[in-house]
Amino acid sequence: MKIHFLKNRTVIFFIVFLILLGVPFLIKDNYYLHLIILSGIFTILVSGYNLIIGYVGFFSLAHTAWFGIGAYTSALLSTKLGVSFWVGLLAAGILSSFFSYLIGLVTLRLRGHAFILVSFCFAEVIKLISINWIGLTQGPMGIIAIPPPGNINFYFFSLNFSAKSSFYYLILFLSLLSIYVVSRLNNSRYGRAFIAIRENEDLAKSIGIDTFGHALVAFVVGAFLAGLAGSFYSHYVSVISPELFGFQYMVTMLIMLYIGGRGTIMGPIIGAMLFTGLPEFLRVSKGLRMPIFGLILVFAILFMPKGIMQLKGMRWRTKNKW
Amino acid sequence: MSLLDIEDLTKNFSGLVALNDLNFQVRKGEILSIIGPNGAGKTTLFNLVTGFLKPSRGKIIYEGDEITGRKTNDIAKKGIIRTFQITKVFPVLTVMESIRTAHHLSTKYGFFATLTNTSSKKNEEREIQENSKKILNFVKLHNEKDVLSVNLSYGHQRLLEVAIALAAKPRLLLLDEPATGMNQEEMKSIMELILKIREIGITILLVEHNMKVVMNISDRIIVLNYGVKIAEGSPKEIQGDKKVIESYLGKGFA
Amino acid sequence: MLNEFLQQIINGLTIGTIYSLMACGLTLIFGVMLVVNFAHGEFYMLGGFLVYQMLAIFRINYAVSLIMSVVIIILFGMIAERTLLKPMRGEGIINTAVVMIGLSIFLQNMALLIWGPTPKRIVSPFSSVPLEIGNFSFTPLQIFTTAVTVLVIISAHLFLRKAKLGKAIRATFSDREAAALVGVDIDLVHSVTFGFGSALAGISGALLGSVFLVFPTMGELPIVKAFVVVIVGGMGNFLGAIFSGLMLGVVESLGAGFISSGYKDALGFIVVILVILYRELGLFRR
Repeated sequence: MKIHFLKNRTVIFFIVFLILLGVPFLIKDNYYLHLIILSGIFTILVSGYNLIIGYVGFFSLAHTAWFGIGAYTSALLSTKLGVSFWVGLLAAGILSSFFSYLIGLVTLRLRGHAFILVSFCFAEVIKLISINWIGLTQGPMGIIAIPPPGNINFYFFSLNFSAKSSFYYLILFLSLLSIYVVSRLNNSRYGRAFIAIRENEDLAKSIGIDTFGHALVAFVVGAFLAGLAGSFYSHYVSVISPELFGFQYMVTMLIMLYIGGRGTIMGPIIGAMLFTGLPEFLRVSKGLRMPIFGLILVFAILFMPKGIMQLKGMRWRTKNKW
Repeated sequence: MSLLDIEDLTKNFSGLVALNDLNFQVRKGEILSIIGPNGAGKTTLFNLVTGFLKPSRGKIIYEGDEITGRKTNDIAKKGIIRTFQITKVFPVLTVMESIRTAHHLSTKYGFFATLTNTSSKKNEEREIQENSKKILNFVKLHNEKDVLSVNLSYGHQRLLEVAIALAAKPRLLLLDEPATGMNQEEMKSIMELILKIREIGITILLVEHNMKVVMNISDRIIVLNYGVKIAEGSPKEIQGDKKVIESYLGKGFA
Repeated sequence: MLNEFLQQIINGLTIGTIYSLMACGLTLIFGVMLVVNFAHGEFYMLGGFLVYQMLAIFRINYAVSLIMSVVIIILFGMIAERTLLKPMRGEGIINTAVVMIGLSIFLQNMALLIWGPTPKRIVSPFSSVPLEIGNFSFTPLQIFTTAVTVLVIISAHLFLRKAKLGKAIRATFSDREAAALVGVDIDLVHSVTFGFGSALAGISGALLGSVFLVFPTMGELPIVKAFVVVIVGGMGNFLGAIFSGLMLGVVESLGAGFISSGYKDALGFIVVILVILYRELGLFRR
């Protein structure tokens, strides 16, 4: 009886949830709290990215664009128009979705290398716009002094964003929301359609699945989540620059996704936690940190090509698939 | 009552004529077989009907509606489902998961219903589960329901294909060489299965090389050679047709 | 006006030959080994740094530095292939690509450690002072760069056509299994291809290091361009790579000259998007 009780999924979730709520009390060091917050941001980013890459199987290189658009939208709304963070958060998600929708319309009919390249080119063009349209984005200097969210006072529940722990609770909420959205989506006819497209597109079409339409859903939902992450990020670090659109973020997300495990719900979470912490825990010497990171990446793929989830025996048996 | 009308259907591939002015009808409730030597254009016909290819000329009319050149998934929605000459499955899915996936057209719940997990979504999911079990029993794959598609034996994969097609609620089922590579026993099962499918009201268009199967279960047969219809009739009529025998065995055998 | 236009085209062709060179290396590696070499930009960077190191620090003369750097990169490439790529054969394109990304991170940061972030200058014996020839101006550096690049491309072409090893590489390119069946040493072909392809990147870096500066992240933008060129030209297609490389150089140059230099890179990408959409979807074809 007791053993059953502990194995029940709802119970496990509840216990984990309680622990998560207690984190700021257990971890007092601001630096570690910062890392946890960062991993929360990446959890949202990579879970969204997983939809198009892991589930539908289209290798998009445009994801940083949605992150950056979200960050800039939110930052500009608050610094130039004094809009509240909460409105900015929603606007960031909506605007990223909107642009991903437009670009998806054009690119999601492409396949293979053509799709990868065109998604990449669009992302680069957006990056170049952020660098060159100085009137809007202040160019390479970026946007500074982005204010933290306004304090929340709701009966007994209050968040003061001059404290890091408040940011933690916010990102916890947003992460849980993302995970909820992604898991609902993937455990439904949508998720089954995504996987069908990935596994055998012709067969999927022959049983009535609109491959373009579903790819668009995955693409846009992923972009929405990335926009939310971007908005949070800009108000958390208070300074953003066109670097957000760059190679480093894209590679980081890909590493988290590939090593954490594509096509699963836990994969992005594990990847995010592992790779946010890892570079920091490798502080052997500041200079050697990144080279070692590079080497770890190399060896991880050499020995675990399917990602960490393959250790758990999760099913990701692909044969020469992307 | 004609379910499918093929009118003057023609397909060219830069110089090669795969189908030339094909005309025939598929009657509701029948099992119609298309036979002919390799390269006669049989699979091309299937590809045209199901939207994988666009015709160079001609019309395809289904239940009175012209479906020429429409997209594959739209055509599937209308009730035309096919299997493929080279087995197609979803490699990493189990048999059960594949069938559940194939119920895509049976479900309607949308994006927001998915996010909020409405009761209508839950109901539809329950129905999918029920119906999947029924289909697995129908094709006799229920013992393999948790086996990965890629690990199935060839014969079972072929059955899975049919099961997937059935889950998509076909009114017209196009089977592309379902008996290829099967032994005697498997052949018997597949013939029984096809007859059972017709019994539940599904019209069947069959492409097949195996003459035993074709002669045993077809109501009518159409013979193609080099993209042209050279004969049409009952199995008996076809067996005696000189042109047919020539096309298969060459002149001098008729 | 026409003059300016032609001048821009000439400038564009110069840069274009370098894009072609890098793209040829990339497409060779992909075509023969089915590897997407994300570290290609770092070999480009290494080319630049090795020449800098020999020229400025060890005070070796320019020609020798150039040649020695190329040799070192070929060897280094072959070693990298043996240790990192050989075990990955058959693991799929993406996993191999991630290994190369790891290598690129490693190399970039080692370069950062060794040489520091401040950009260095390679002092080439060829000056950057423009000469007037007819109505156009060229710098000796430009002429040298283009000449070397063209020479390299032609030599590579001859090597692939005439030399025994070159033919072996081409055979593997066309049909790996058949090549293995007739006794081609696949391991050797892979090592040489990777070393050779990387050397093409290295030469580009060494040559451009004189024009621009040398710094650890200098490979990031060129590799993007190289990928673009390879895919527009068709992966594994040499003539395509050469032609697209030149085209990209010209488009960028015209863009910089007539629109704005900030957005000139964007122009290249937009052209690529349009080309691909046209080619794959038949858009604009009414």
